[in-house]
Amino acid sequence: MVMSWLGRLHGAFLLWGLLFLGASILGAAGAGFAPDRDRYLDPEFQHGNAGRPRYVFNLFQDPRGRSILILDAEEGADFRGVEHAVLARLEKVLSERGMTVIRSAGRDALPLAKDVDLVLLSCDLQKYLDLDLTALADAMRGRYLYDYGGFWGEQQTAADQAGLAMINFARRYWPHWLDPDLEIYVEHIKEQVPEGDGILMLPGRSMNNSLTRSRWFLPLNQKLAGHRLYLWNPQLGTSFVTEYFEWVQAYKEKAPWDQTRQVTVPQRSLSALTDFAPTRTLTAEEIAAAETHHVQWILFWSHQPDFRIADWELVPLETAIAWTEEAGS
Amino acid sequence: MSFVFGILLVVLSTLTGRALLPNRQRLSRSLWEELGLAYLLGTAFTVVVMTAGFLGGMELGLLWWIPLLAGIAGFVLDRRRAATLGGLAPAPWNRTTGIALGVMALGSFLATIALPLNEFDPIYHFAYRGKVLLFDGTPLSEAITGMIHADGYGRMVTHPNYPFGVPILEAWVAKWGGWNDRWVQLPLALWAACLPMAVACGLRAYSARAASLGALLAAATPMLYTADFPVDGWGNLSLAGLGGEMMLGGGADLAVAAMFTAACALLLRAYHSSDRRTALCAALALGGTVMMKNEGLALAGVLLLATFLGLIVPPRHTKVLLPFAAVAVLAILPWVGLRAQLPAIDENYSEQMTVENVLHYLGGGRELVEKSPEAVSNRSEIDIENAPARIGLVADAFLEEFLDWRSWGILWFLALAALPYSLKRLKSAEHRWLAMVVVGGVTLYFLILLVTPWNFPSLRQKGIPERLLVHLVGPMVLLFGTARALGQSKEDEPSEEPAQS
Repeated sequence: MVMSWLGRLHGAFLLWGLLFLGASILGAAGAGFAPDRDRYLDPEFQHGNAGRPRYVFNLFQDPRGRSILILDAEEGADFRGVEHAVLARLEKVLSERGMTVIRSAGRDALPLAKDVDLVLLSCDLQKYLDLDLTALADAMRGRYLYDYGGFWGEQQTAADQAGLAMINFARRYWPHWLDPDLEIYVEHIKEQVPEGDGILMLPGRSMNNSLTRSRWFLPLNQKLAGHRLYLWNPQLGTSFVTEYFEWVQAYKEKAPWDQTRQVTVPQRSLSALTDFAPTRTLTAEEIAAAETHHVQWILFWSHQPDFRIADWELVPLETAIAWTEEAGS
Repeated sequence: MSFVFGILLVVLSTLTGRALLPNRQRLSRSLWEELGLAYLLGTAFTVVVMTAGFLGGMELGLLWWIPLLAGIAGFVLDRRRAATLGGLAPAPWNRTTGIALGVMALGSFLATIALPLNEFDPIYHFAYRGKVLLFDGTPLSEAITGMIHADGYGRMVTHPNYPFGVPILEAWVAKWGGWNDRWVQLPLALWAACLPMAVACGLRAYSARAASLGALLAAATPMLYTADFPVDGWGNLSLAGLGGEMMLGGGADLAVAAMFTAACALLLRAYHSSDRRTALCAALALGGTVMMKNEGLALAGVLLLATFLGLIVPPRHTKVLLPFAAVAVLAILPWVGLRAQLPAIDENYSEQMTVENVLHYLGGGRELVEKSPEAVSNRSEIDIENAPARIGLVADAFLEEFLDWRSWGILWFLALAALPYSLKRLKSAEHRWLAMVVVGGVTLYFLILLVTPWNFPSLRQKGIPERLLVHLVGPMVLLFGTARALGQSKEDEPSEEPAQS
C-alpha cells in the first residue's frame, strides 16, 4: 500500500518535467530556436559602488582640466542602469578634482560630446545605444568609452573601428561562446589562416585577472577546429577552474612579457587601436616551441574577461621572429 | 544535410539493435520497448565497434561505413527471421499512461534540438573531440595526444581521456553533412525517451503493471531532463534550458544513464528467462555505458562485481552470467586500450582511489581549501588548519540531493522503500545484484568524491554529485518496480487493460 502511494506520488512529478520541457521549448521558440543573449539575466555593474571615481582617475594622471560626459536618463524617466543619486556622487567627486562633468539627462549625446575626454554610459536609453560611434569619435577629444551596464553589448567592435576604446564594467551572464566580438575575430582568423596551419597563443601582457571568463582560448580552440592551436601548459590551463587559476599563477611567475619588449605595430590586422596591441617579441623558449610544433602564426592576447578585438593580434611567425631579432640586435 | 544524416543514424542504429535482440518469444516486448532498446543497443554497437576500430588504427572515413552496413545487415537479418521472430506483446500501459510517456519522449527530443549546443560540457568536453574525429579522423591525433609535450606547449582539450561515444555519434552525423551544432545532437536526443522503455522491458517479466509503473516513474524523474528547476524561481521560467543544469543535450550523463538502464533491464530479463542472447545484449549495453563517460567504467565494475558476488549463493545463473561478463569485458577492452594512449588531466580516479586516500578522508581528512577558487586566485585568506572535514561536505551534498524533490521527485525514497523488500528476497539472484548496484553505485560515487583531487565545494557548484547520481535512475526504478511487483505478487493481475501496440 505504501509502495503504491509512493509510486503515485512520484508519478505526479511527470507534470514537473513537462513544465520544464514546455518552458524550454517555448523559450527557444521565442528566440527563433537560436541562443539569444537577451534571454539571459541582465548584465550588472560588478565593481562595487559605481559612484567611486577611481575608474575615471585610472585614465588620467592629472584629472584637472579633463572632461567627462555621463550619458544618463532624465529624472523620472524609465531606465535600467546606475541611479541618479550615485551619479550625483560621482559628479561631485570628479568636479572637486577639477574635472568638467557633463550629464546628458536624456539629451542628444553628440553636441554634448564635443571635446570631452571620456564618455560614460550609465543607462540603457535606446538613443544612446544607437549612437553613431564614428560621429562620437569625431566629436570627442579623448577616445575612451566606459560602459557601466554592458548596454553597448554589440557595439564593441564598431567602437574599435571608430578608433574608440570601449571598456565594459558589467558582468555578463550569457555564455562566453555567444560573444559577438569573439565571432568576428573567429571569422577574421579563418580568413587569414589556412586550415591545418598552427597557431601559438601567447599572452602579450601580464595577466591581471584569473576570471574564468578570460579563458578565450577555449572557444577559439573549439570554433577553429581544423586549425592547430597551442598553449603553454594546456593540461592546467584547460582543466577544471581551480587548475586554471594555478595556470594563471604559474604564467605570472613565468612572466615571458617581462623578458621581452612590447611592439607597436603601425597597422593592425583587424583592430584600429594600434597602441592597444598585445604584441611583443618572443622568448627563446617560445621561438623553439613555435619551431617544434611547426606553427605558422602567433596569436597574442591580453587576458581579459571581456572579448575585445583590440586585445588580440594575429601575426605571422616570421614577423614575430623578425621583431625579436631586431630587438636583439 | 546533417539533419538527414542525424535521422539516418537513428534509423540505422534502431535496425542494428532490432537484429541484435533475441526473438520475441525469448524476450517478450511491446513495439515501444523494442524500439527503445533497439536504439540503445544499436548505438552501443556503433560506439563499441568504432572505438575498437580507432584502437586498431582505422579512421573515421572507413569506420563511418560500419553503422551503415550494420543497419542494412540488421534490416536484412530481421526480415529473414521474420517467421521465427514472433509477435509483439501488447504495450503494458493504458492509453493515458501511453500518451503521457509519448508526450515526455517527444518533449525531451524537441527540447534537446530546440537549441544548438549551448552548454560548457557538451561544447568543450564532447563536441570538440567530435570535431577532432571529423577533421583528423582518429582520437589518436595530435589534437589530443599532443596536449602534453616535453617543451610544455601543447594542444588544448578539456577532457582528453573521456570515452568517445558521444563524439563518435556527432562526428558520424557531421561526416558528410558538415558540422552543425544543432543536428549533431539528433542521435543524442533520444536517451530520455528510450530509458523508460528499457525499464518497462526489464520489469515486464514481473507484471504488466510493474512495467507500466516503472516506465512512468522513470519518465517522471525530473533529473532526466534538468536539475533544480526552476533555477531562479517562478519569475524566470524563460531561463529554462539555458543553464548548466540541463541534462538533455550534448552531454554524456544521460547517455550513461540510458545505456546502464538497458544493461540492467536486459540482464534482469536474462536472469528471469535464462536466455543467453538477452545476456549478451545486456553486455553490449554495458559496453555502450563505458563508451559514453569515464564513470561508465566504474559502473561496469559495480555491476560485474555485484553479479559475481551474487554467485556466492545459489541460484547462480552462470549460464547467463558468464557470457554476460565475458562479452562485457570484450566490449569494454577497446576503450581501455585506447585510453591508455591518451593523455590524462588530474581527474584520474583510479589513481586517487587508494586505500590510504580513502582512509584519510573517512577519518576526517580536511577539504582541500587551498585548491578553492578563493585561495588559488588570492581573493581571500584561507584557514587551512580549520578547513572542514571533507566527509561532512560530501555527506551533506548527498543528503541534499536525496531530499531535492525539484530534481528527483521522491525517487530516493522509492529506492529506500524498495531495499527491505530486496533484503527479504535475497535468495533471488537478480534482487541481490540489483540492490547491490544501487547501493554500490551510490557508495562508489561517494568514495570518488571523497578522494577527488579537486576542491569539492567547487565541484558541488558545477552540479556534482547530481550529474553522477543520474546514472542510477534506471536501476533505482527497476529495484522499486521489482520490489513493488513482489509486494503485489499475491494480488490479482493489473486491472488496467493494456493497450494494443
